[in-house]
Order: sequence, then C-alpha cells, then structure tokens
Amino acid sequence: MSQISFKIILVIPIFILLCLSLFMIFAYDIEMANGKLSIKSNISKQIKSNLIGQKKPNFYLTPLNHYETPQEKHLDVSNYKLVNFWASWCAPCRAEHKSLMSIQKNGYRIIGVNYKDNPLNAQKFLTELGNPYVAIGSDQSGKTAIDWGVYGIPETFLLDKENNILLRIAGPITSTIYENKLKTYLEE
Amino acid sequence: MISELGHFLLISAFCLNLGLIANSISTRSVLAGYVSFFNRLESLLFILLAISFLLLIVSFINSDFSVKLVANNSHALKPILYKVAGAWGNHEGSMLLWVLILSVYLFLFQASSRDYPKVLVRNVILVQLSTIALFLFYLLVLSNPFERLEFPPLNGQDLNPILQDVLLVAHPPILYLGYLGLSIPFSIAVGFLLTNDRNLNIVSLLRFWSLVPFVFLTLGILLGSIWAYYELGWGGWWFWDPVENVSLLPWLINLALIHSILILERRNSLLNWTILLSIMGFSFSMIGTFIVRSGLITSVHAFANDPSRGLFILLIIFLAIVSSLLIYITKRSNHKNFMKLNFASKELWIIVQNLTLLVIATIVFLGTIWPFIIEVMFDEQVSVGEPFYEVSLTPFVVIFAFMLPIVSKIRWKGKNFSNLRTTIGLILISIALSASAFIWKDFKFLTFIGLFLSSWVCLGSFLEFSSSLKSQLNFIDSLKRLLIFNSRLIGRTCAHFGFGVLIFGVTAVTSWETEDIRNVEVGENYYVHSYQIAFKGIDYSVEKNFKKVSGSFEVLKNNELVGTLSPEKRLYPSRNEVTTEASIKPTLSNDFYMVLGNKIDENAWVVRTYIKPFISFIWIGVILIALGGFVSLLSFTKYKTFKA
Amino acid sequence: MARFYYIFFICFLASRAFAVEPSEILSDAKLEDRARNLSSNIRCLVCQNENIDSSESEFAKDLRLFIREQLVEGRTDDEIEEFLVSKYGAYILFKPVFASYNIFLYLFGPFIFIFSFIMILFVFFNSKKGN
Repeated sequence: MSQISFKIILVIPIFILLCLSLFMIFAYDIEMANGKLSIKSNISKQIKSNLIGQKKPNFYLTPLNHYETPQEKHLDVSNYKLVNFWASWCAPCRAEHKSLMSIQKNGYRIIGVNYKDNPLNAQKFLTELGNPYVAIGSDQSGKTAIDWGVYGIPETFLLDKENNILLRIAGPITSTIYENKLKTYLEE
Repeated sequence: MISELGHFLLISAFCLNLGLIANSISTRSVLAGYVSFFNRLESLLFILLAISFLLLIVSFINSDFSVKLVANNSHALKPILYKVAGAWGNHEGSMLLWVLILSVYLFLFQASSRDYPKVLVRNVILVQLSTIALFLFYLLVLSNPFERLEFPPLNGQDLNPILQDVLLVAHPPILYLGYLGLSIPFSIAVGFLLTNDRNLNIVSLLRFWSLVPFVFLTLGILLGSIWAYYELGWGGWWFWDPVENVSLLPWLINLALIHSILILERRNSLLNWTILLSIMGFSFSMIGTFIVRSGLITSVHAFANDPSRGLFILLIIFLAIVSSLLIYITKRSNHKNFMKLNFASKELWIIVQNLTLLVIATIVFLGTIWPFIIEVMFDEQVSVGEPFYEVSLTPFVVIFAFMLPIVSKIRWKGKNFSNLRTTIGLILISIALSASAFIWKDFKFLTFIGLFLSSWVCLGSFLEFSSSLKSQLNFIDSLKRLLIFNSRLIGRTCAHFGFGVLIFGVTAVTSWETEDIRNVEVGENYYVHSYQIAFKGIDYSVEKNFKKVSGSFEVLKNNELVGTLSPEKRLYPSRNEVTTEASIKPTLSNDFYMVLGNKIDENAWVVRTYIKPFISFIWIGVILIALGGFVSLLSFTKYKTFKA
Repeated sequence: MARFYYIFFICFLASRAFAVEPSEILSDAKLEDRARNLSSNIRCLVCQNENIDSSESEFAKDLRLFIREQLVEGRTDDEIEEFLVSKYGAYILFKPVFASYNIFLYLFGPFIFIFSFIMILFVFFNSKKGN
C-alpha cells in the first residue's frame, strides 16, 4: 500500500504536463499558406460581448445640439442597422469615420451615441468629416454605454431586422474588419 | 560591425556548445584523457556569451539605431543607466541574458565541484549544456538580438517610461539569477539519474545549489514588489498578476525542495521526491517564461510578441520537461527505503509542510492558467484575480504558518511531543499579544489570525534558537563544527523569523491602512488622522527626457515636521505617456504615501494620501528570509561518501 | 494583434480621469465601504489586470459611479455583480463565480491537499505496522 501512496507525487507533474499539452494542442493555429508556414495565436485578445443574440438594450440619451435624438422609430426598419459609440476626443473614431460614411451611403441606418463629449467638439467633428448618423444622442453619464456593455470607444453593434444584436465590433471598423465581419451582412 | 561581431560570437558559442555536448557524451568511455582540455572550453562558452552580451550593451550605449532592438527600445536622450538597462528590458536582450546566466551557472558549478565524483559532474554538465543549447538555438533562429534595420530611424522609440527606474534596472538580472539558478538542481537531479549509481551522495550539492537561487529569487521578487509599490501609484505591492504568479511558483517549489533535502540528508529517504522537486522547480521557471512571453495570458508584462516565438518556446520547454520526466520515470530508484515515521517526528510534518507548499503552488498555477483553459474548453472568458487568491490561499497559508514553529521544534524521529507545555504557553502568549492590539483598533477576525500567526512564528523561532543553542553547546568538539552548525541554525531562525515579520506586515497593511482623497487648494491645510498636511505649492519644470508637475506638501505631527513630500506627474513626449510618481516618506512604523491627481482648476488639485502602517515590515521580512538563505549557504560541507 | 494595441490606445486616450475621485465618494461610510469592496472584484476591461478601484480610465470611472448609484438605490452586492455579468460577461469579475466549471478551480487545491494528506497517513500507519 505504501508503495502506491507515494506515487501521489506524480499527480502534480502529470497535471503540469496536461496543462502544457493543452497549450500545445489548442494555443496555436499552424497553417501552410502560399508555401509559407504561418503560426497564429488561437486566443482572442478581444473581449466577447455577452449580449449577442439578445434584444437591444435601451437608450438613455440626451439631445446633442440640433440632431435628432435616437428613438424606437429610427430602428423601425426591416433592415440591418448599426449602433456606433463615438467621441471627438477618440483618435480611432476619426480613423473609422470613412467606413461609416460609406456604409451609410449604401443605405444602412447608423445610430450614433456620442460618449462623454463636448457638444461643440462633436459638432466640429461632424461638420469636418460628414454626418453618417440618422440620429445622434449624447451619453454624458455613460449609462447607455454600461447598458450596452461598452468598454472602450469606438464600439459598433450590428442589429438585425428584429433589433437583436448580431455582433459587436470593439475598436475601429477598418477595411479589413469590414471585409471579415460586416460584409457578409451588409452586401448580401 | 559591433553587432555583426556579437552575432558571430553567438553562433560560435552555439557551435562550441554542440561540440561540447558531443564531447561530453563521448568522454564517457573514449576520450577520458581530455578532461582538463574540455574544462577550459566550457569557460570559453561563458566568455563568448559574455562578450556578445557586452557588445549588445555597447550598441545600446552608442544608441546605434541601425540595430532593430536598439531602435525599438532606446532613445538618444535617455540617461546612460537606462540605456544599459535597455539591453535586457526587452524580449531578445533578456533571452540573451537568460542564456548568459545559464552559462554563468555552468561555469560556477564546474569550478566548485572538483571534489565530486567525475561521472556525476560530467553528467550534470551535459544536462546543463543541453539546456543552454536549446535556448541558444531559439535565440539564433527566432529572436536574434543583433538584427539590423535596413533603414535606421533617426531616433529610437524609447523604453516604456514606467520601466525607467533604478530598481527595474536590477530587477531582471537578479530575478534571472534566481530562475536560472534552479537549472543547476535540475541538472544535478537529471545528471544523477543518468549515472545509474544510486549510492552517490548529492545532498550537499543539491542543498547548496537550491539555496543560491532561493536567495536571488527572493530578492528579485522583492525588488519587483517594491517597484510596483512606489511606481504604480496606489501603493499596492502584490497584484496576483500572471507575471508575479509565475515568479512565485518556482519560489514555492524551491522552498519545498530546500526542506525535503533536510529529510534526504537526515534520514536518507525521499530521494525520488527531492529529485522530482528539483526537476519541477526549473520546469516552473521555464513555464513562467513561456506564459510571460507568449502573451496567451493577459498580464501587465506583455513583451511584444509574435506567436511563432511562443510556439517555439513551448516546444523547447515541452521537450525539456518531458525528457527529464521520462528519465525520472525510467531511472528513478526502485530501492524501497521507507523510513519509519513517528507521529511526533519532524520528517512526517516536513512532508506535510511540503505538501502544503505544493498545494499553494498548484492553486496559483491553476488560477494563472484558468482563463486559458476555460477559453479553450468552453469558449468563454473568465478572470482570476486577487479576490480569488485571497479566498483560496488564506486557509493553506494559515495552516502552513501555524505548523511552522511546531515542525521546526520537534525532534527527528521524535516519538512524542516533548515540550507540550512550552508550546501551549507560547500559543497563549501569542493570543494575548495579538488580542492586545485590539485595544486600539476594531476587532476583525482575519486581522487577529494574522497577528496571532506572526507572533507565534516569531516567538517560536526565537525560542527554538535560544534553546537549541543551549543544548548544542554541550556537544561542541571543535570551533569549526560550531560555526558550520550554527550558520544553519542562524539561517533557519532568520528566515523563519522573517516569515513571521512578513505576516505581520501584510496583516497590518491590509487591515489598518488609511486612505484620504480630496480636492486641495494651494496653501490649504488639512488633517489626515493626527497628521497635519500643508499644500505649499505647485511647480512645473522640464527635465532631460520628460516634463513634470510636482506638488510640495509639508506633513506635520504635533507641530513637528515629519517630512516634505513632492508627488509628481510626468509627461514623456517621446511616447506621449503620462506617469504619476508617488512621493513616499517611509518611517519604521508608517509609510506616508502621496499621489498627485488631476488638476481641478487653477490652483486646486486632487490629492490622495495613504498612511500605510508597517509596510516596511514586509520588505524587512522578505530581506530576512533571503538573508536566512544566504547564511545557511555558508555551511556548505565538502563531499562525503554515503553512509547508508 | 493590432486590435490589442488599439485597446491600449483607447485606454490611454480615455485616461483623463483618475482613480476614485473626491466627488465620487459617498457620504454614507457604510455604502462607500461596500462600493469599495465591490469594485475590488470588478475588472477594468480596458486596462491590464487592474480593478476599477485603482484604474484611471474613463470606463472604470463610469462603473464606479454606476455601482454607487445602484447601492444608493438599495441594490444588493450580488444583484449589481449579476447585472454587470449580464452586460459584460463573466470576464468582468476577478473572483469567478462558484458555479459550474469554476467549482473545479476552487476545489482542486483542497482536494489534492486532503487526498494526499490521507495518503501520507496511510504511509504513516503502514510504517508503524511494519515495525
């Protein structure tokens, strides 16, 4: 009996090996592409949204300048629509603005939530770069952002026809992200 | 030229390394006569790597921005000290340091082990050489520190400003001396298994080479902790960040190893267990590097990384760990030497202590990689942080600390608890002492437990010291023996006492900290506790590589000046980053910690003041633990043949 | 990878505020204590392994204010945590909920301890018998 008992020692190295093998098997994606070996980390750095597939949360917004404040009627179209959290102080927002403009040109509605911004700066930002939004509300308290599970600006949500959240894009919509994520929905 | 030379030296070191491995395999039978020649070549390996590392430092000092590493991590305006430190403040440079320190240890081991059986020493060197070869290969293939840029920039990108700090200059090399020092017990264990001779005595070797990394690892962790305390701006000193956890893991395993060696020494038992601990200690330092460098687990320490590196390191450590464990499984001694365990014997309870340490290590390890496991298995994201570790580790730390004085006091092979009366007396005294603290403070159960444990550990180790000094005095036959024996006793007492002091510091800081956050106008006076604080003024200035705002505050107690504090905010234009520099006035009983917050209006600022009671006890405790390890080192005894 | 750096970038841009500010602190000391306790368990998602209590980011500030608001309205700690998990996912809690797969995380250590302790006792009694 005593011989077996000291083999309990082996539990720990086996445990370590198990964890290491987990890393070995799952942590990396190895692909052969164009004759080149490409190794990718399998662990996403992005935080997943917990709201995917759920009904969209409410807006608690105050009016921003002369713009229309988002209401249910703005979402009352049977088409995909975007909800975009932005601010004039956020540099990546400037970077993604172009993609938003072109999405709007394709006939999709975008609701803007102006997060903790100075109304004057926001106004300047929009006159300078153009206004892709069908309605804009100001979220000074950050309450709407919490309700939508937003943790950083810019963040964009794609809603389906019934106003359920289909996907969340944290960070700017660059052309690659548009290609990879949004294109399938917006260019059917 | 310099960096090409460095690269060349690295390549030649690798070739030499391979040659040495081949040589040491063949010397077993054929080339035994070349041993002296072969010795000199190993120091050459160390010299080659050292020169190559020096050359890297030289390119950093010269701000040679045609070297990619320098361009990414240095800036012409940076003070010279941080230019030098830039050499190891990044992935490639630190990997070079890693390999260099491995070879330093190889060199030291070889120089100090002349009296040991040749077979054993040769095998140990073989294992160490193979480890060096693996990492050197990785360095050359995937993270060459001497890579050139085709179009060198005019100026570099600078080191992250919060890393520009004197303590952080010393932190990585000392920590590495600890991590990689563990490679020697690892090599000794595997080398010993390879000799097939179970009668060799590796006890004194293992003891010495497990204490060396213990001292460095303890100091390295301490430096990192002190840095976090004054740099990160809210006075925390341990965050359970993955990086900290992975430095704690080898430390815990090494601590278990040091204590299990005692059993091996006294009772000639637990050989397999000790060998396994030696293997695991270094395995954990390698796993730690992987976790830090692969970026798979979010941590404050993320080196810029690309996945192929992570995969490669993973392959290397998998190879090293699996092969050493295979050697362990096939070659471990089947000699069934089960010692007789008495209930009141030291050996039984040291085993339980070892077990507690391993359980603590397991929890920390599991907690660290848990987010990864969950992401892989269930595709969900979880966080494991401070509150989790507090809840799940506290019981085991309490068990550990409570057993400590008892275990160190009871006898080897003891049949019954001899001084039961003194023990109970001591417990009662500790309870009384810790309860008396609540005359001034509100009662909290955990605070009480912490205070009790600290006085119990401190008093216990002190009492044991005095009593064993007395009883041993009768048996002295020579002065030398007294010194050897006492350096162990002194070391042990010092380390255990330090642990008690550490518990006290932790308890005091977590339960009695005072915090004060408010808006203060220039010229305003206000009170925190019994301290009067006067905001004297604000000052703007421009330094060599940053701009700063500093406030000046006078702290008075009973109208006597305690100190003048000047917390700062700095802007580093080269990275456009703002850092806060806390100002700390340390005294033995209190640390006065001030941080300058935001500007409210023209002359009003947010000021945060913390009074941290007895935080210096944490540092003192840890220094005592390291000192204890160092003193124990002095009793290094020469090789003795085994007495079975 | 680029995304990852963006998050850093956002975090930096947003760091105009500072960790707990005087204006945030509740006058009711008990509620403030509870708020502190709660926030030490809530992760600042845009930062590196920091809780919202010590983080300087705008995100952390919002959540600090939100928690205090909810506490004043009389919510319990559990309700607030549940709400945040429903919005941000389990990732936001530093102490995983003691449920489903996390039970393994909590019980693995104690299990090993008890199991091997029993094993050691086995050895102990066996060695007694042998002699």
